[in-house]
Amino acid sequence: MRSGFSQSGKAEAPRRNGLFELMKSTSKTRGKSVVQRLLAVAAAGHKMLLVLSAIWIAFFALLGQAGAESKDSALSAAIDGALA
Amino acid sequence: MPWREPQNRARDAYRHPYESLTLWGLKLGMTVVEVDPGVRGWWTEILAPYARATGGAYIATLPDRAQSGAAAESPDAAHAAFWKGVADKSVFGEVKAYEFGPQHPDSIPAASVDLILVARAFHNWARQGDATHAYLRAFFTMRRCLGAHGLLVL
Repeated sequence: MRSGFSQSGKAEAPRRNGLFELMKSTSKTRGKSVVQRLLAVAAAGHKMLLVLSAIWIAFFALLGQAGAESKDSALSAAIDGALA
Repeated sequence: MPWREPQNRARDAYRHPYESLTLWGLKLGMTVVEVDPGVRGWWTEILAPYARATGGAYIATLPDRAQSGAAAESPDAAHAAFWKGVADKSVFGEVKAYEFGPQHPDSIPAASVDLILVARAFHNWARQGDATHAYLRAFFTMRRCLGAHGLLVL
């Protein structure tokens, strides 16, 4: 007859039913309500948004700097009437 | 030796030529057409030397002799004045010019031009029947590509 013990006498590992069960058992979410978990997810998303925004701003700053450095000196000289 | 006329340079503060030309897509080595630039036009003083220095080409369209009568100045006089204004090859380079107008819309080879500058001309064409349509069709043909900066209207 099957019991909660294997033939070797050790306890069987509890069965997991998918990701939700796995999340429930992790230390961070254990004992928290659904609302608390959603808030945690939202906070993580907000941090991710901040990081992405910073990357985006840095990208455009570098792009602007590159554009400023690639100024058309020949056109400037033509406008100044001082082209060689 | 600075070649731009002092009165033309004085207008830079209002016309912002660097910002305008770069916004319109002017780049090194381009073939630029200036439509009816007049006698040593304001833009000619910039565009022709720029084309010379960057390996590009400056092309002017001049009044069409076949369409004389409406202009106060005869086409021959306009042509002569234009060539006199850009005579210094060390500054303006090898300027090209074509008679251009509704009677000669195909004088500039097709798909040979990167940028077309039309300054203060549409109001004149509007008084000449279907001239505007003919000019625009000619511009469409002469452009090398269908970019956003092919035609500039001032």
